[in-house]
Amino acid sequence: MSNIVGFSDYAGTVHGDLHCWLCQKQVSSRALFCHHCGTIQPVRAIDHFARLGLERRIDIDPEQLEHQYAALGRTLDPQRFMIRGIGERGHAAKQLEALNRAYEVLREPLRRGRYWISLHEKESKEAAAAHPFVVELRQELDMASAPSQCDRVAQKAGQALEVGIMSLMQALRGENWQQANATLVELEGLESILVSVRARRGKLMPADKGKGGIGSVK
Amino acid sequence: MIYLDYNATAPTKPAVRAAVMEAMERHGNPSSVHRYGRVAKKHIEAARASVAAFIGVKPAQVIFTSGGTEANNMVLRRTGAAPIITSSIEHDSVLACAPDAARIPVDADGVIDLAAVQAILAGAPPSLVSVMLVNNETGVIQPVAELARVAKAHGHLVHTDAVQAAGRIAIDFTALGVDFLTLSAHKIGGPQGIGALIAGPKVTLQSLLKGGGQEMNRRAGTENVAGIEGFGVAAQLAADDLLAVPRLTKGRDELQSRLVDIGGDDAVIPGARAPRVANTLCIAMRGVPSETQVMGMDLEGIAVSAGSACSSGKVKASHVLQAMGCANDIAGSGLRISLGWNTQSTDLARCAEAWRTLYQRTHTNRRQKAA
Repeated sequence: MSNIVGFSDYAGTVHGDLHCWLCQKQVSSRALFCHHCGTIQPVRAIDHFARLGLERRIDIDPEQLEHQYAALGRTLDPQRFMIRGIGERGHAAKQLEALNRAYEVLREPLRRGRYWISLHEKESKEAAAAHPFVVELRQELDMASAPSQCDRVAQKAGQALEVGIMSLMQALRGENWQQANATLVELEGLESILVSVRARRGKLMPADKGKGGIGSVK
Repeated sequence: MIYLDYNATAPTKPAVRAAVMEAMERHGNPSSVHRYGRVAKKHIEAARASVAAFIGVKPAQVIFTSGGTEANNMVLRRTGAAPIITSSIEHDSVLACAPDAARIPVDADGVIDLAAVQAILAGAPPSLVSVMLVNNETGVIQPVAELARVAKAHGHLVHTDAVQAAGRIAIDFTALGVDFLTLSAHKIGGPQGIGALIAGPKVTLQSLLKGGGQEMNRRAGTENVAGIEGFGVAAQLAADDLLAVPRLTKGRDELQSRLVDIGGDDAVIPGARAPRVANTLCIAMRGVPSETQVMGMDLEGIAVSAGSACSSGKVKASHVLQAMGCANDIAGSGLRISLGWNTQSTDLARCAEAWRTLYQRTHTNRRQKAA
């Protein structure tokens, strides 16, 4: 059995989790065409970098951006879909619009920077929510039926937060940016748990006792 | 069996196969004026438009040929007595057409020496300069646009063999500034036996083959209708290959790291410091003949090549690696692993394990012989 540890989930051009709208065969989310029937695909939710076939980085090569944009734009030229059905013409037009939007954002360094940060923030939030300890605490909180159970979750999150902050400082002092980033993601997840604890505890408290119930929890 | 020899030929894409089959179910000579002929002609022109859009030219600039070799022959032999200047790392179909041509050297990274280009071109009479856009063995991208600027300034015509660049990098004929460009369908998942020569709007070209007015008198002979239609579809689908480049780069780099970890100083990557296309990894297992490695990998279920796969299975020291100044224990030991549209991460992992097995076996044999 082969060992695939260390290799990214690379899957060529064709394979993917989606299906062609026409022939129902497998397509990749970034594919413009179905490689089984050759049909243009609808616009999928991919980021601007992927839409232009560029590595996701702030310092993209402007020349490469121009070449990719020109080549993809020629492929999606409406003239080339004139003899196709209305469905294909519509998908091609929308693909071209999406390509133009992506290009407009990536070609301007400032807009590209803002977009890159927004992508990073979104992914950090998703990663924080998916952190195993955060997931465990959230499940415990979801099952809490009394304020005391919420307090236990808050206590665990608070302790983990303290340990995490120490770990973050250590990583920053050692200039271990990768470790610092991973710890930050976990800390964001723990903070979101504390916010949720407050809301959950408020719902579980009787109306007249609920005010300021967990003042000790930050 | 895992196929990692896309630079030799890429597996035909399913949509291309369907288009070829459909074309073969029809009949009609595109030169005929009746309906059958007109239908065939219409499909050829649609494919021509697709290939033209692929590299940013007008359809009339696309001349369909039987492949890259014919296109190279066409442009290199059409010049008659005009001298030819080429590089030392070209494909055989260029080198054989110009055995006496002045050769532009390459540096240790496999990139043509632009300083040498200046010197060679400045003193030469009006010539045809032919340099490939991407090397088939190392995947190194050549500075053809810069070369063309220098060559044009000295009044030379410029041709580039872009067979290995197509589908690996975005090609823009105008931005390259060349007069001629060669393409081959089967490197991008199209059918074998069909290619194209792209000619600039201001150049004239004599037909290599005589006896028909096809391709606007530039290439005689009834068109390969099914092949051309398949080429048209492959050219369109190649846009997705450009979108896959970041992932392909990651896969290739991970494979390279794994092999270097296994082989240490015995694993040499010619061209690793130069800009390369994402799909190609040239690795030399020091002192182990390429042929032994290709057969060993084949036994392990991995199909790869020793440098260029052209001609009849012959394997000899790579002229490309020799031109890069590699010693014999490297130039005769190059293995080309090339990825493509149907490559999976599991394929790369199995390739690495096969290479590890081969490396350990050959080194055990060596130690035993030494003892």
